[in-house]
Amino acid sequence: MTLADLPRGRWARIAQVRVAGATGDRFAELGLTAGTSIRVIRHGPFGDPVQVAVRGFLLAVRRAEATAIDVQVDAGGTSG
Amino acid sequence: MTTVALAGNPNTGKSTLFSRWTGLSARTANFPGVTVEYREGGRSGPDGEPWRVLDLPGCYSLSALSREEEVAHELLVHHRPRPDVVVVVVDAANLERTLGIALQIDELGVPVVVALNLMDEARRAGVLVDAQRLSERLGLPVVSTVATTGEGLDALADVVHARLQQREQTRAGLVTPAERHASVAWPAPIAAALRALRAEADGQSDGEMLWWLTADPPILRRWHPEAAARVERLRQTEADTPAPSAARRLAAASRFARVDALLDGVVARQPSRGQAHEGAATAARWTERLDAVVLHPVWGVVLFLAAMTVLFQAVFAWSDPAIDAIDGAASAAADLVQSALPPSMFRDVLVHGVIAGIGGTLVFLPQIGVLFLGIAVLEDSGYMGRAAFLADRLMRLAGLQGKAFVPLLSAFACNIPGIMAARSLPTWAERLVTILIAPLMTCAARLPVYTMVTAAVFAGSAPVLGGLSLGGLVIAGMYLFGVLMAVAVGLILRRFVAPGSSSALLLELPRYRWPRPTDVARVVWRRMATFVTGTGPVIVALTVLLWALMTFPRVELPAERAAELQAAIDAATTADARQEAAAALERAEAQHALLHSAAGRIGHAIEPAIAPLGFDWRIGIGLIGSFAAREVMVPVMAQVYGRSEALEDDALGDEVGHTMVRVSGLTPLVGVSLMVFFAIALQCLSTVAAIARETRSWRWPAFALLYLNGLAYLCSLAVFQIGSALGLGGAG
Repeated sequence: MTLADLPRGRWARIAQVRVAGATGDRFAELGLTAGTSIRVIRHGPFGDPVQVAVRGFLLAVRRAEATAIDVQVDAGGTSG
Repeated sequence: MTTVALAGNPNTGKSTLFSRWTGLSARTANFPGVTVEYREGGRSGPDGEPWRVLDLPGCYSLSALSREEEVAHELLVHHRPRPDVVVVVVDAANLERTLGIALQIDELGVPVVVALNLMDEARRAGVLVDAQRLSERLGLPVVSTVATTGEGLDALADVVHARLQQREQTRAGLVTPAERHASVAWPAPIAAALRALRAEADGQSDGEMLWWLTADPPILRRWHPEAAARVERLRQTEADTPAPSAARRLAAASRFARVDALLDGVVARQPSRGQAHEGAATAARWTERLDAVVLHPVWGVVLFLAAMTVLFQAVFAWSDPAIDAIDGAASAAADLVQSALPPSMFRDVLVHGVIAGIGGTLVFLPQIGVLFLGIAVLEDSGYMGRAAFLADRLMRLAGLQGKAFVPLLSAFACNIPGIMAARSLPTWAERLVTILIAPLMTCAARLPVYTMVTAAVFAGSAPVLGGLSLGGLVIAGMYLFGVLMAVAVGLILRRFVAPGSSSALLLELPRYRWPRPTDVARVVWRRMATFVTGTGPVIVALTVLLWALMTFPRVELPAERAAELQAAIDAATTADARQEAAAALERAEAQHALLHSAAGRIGHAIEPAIAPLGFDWRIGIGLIGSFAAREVMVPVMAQVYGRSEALEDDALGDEVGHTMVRVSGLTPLVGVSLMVFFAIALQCLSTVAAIARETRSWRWPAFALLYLNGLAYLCSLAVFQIGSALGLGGAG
């Protein structure tokens, strides 16, 4: 599953960031590394961008990048 | 002198801490060769020793993915004098993200003190940080601070002072930097590369060599050619050496893993919904609740439109009284000098060049002040990121991102504050494209020209589309035309002028906070001051130059014509007639002087070039004269025709417009061609000066002049030629 498909409010763990180039590097430097917990809060107008909670802060990323971030849903984790 | 640098992530309160520490001594400094500014100020240490304090650009890491990071790294490591101590400001409520850069700076071998800032927000959020334990784990001094109230700032100075005294010495319980760094378990590819580089090391820290591995080769070559060569050799001989991007990701992942391990048992969260702290409404919770409204697909958009309308209205209309007052003061000053000094070349330069230029600079201050007041409030409250979130989809149409919305919106009032506001864009490429398309937004200075032309050629037209005035529709069409051109140009520039840069959005949405009046006032003051000192001199110089073009060579009215007009004055029997005749002489003199000036001659000379656009040489002179500011087109044309400039704005526009119809052959087609030219052309010396200031080069303003005026020429050419071919030319 990718971050773009992650249902709102569901916590997941980042499995792999497949975003190429400097943007992908930036994701790593913001702490979006493998194993980090992440949650989708909402989508912007027309479904884009995506607001996520990660490492204690809120971040907006575009759908295009969200589809390149693989996540694994935590077992039973829906609280937020 | 001791140098103390402040570093840290954006939104950690670093700038507030800097302001608190340095007070009025702060000033903006510039890193040579790069368009990045940082702040510099002074204070005394606890023992009275003077400290130089640097506020490094806020950044998420130092790996030079942005120019801010590049500058921060160079200021820390290579710029002389090197900081003696670096205070890394972190967000106590969010250590898991903001502590990483402290590790990175510590790796560079620079003495670090950690300021655990925003302690008040952390307390309110129920986040408890064991500062003592954090300090032990990090091996670095940690001081709790609340920069907004000043809490802990003296203690921070004491700890920095102590750190200066001991430099590399260790405090009880703290490990040495060397021990600390040796214990870092870097991922295998990085560890191997570091081992290889260490063999040739020349006193550099591991952190510095790691930076070599993570920096892009062009950037590394720019600052450290020798290191670049060494890394290149290593990559050739050792195939496993990670590429810069891989090194960045490995290093970041490793640091975040270290941060997580460090914080285990250091940070405790009180249960936010727990029974123990019923009243502890957390900042994070507030932010989520507010976001539910602010980012709501319907209410969020309504709120966004309302906020942007107020911001635009404030810049566009509410700053008018102040603008009028400055205009009035400038003409009063000009009149005063005019009457106080005897006629001389010196007086003319002073009045028409220097005073006009200073007035022409100051007149922008109200709009700049109002816009940055709005921007500072929106930024500090946390709303700006939300506005960018909502506008992102729209701005992507022009190849930009949500943060470009406010600069381009304000450019509709005046291009100059819009260009200045482009600084809020995170990457240089996006900033540059925003600056280059901002002049396509229909600013208020184009309106007098549009109203003059439409009143002259469309006033008699029947209403169209059920009662709409044709002139009004044409003006609305000009606004739309400018926007469409901006979208097209934005997409092209993004591809060719500033390629390769990422077009992704990585937007932090900070916690909501009340903006602090002193912080807001500081931003407004700083923007206005840098405009006056940075852009003002260029505006004055260009004003003097343009005045000279329109004045020299000075040619007197031919003797017989002067005598004729003088005779009319002498023959006048009533005082009114006498005054009228005297004004006629003055107008004739002004007209003659302009037509024979360099500008007048250029206007004549370019007639063959602009005739295919439908313009005669008179309009040519108007185009040159209106380079001072677009609205000056109207009075300059009055002078070209020998008309009085002393009428009220609307009456002057009517008078000049009708003269254009009679003398210059202004038809509806020529009128549209002229408006299209004004919609695109960069005819505003203050905008040129602002672009030069914001890009810190003459290359980009030259490019803007070329592309905008070339495009304006082609579009007007197309309008007039196609229109003529379709037989629209003669319609009146």
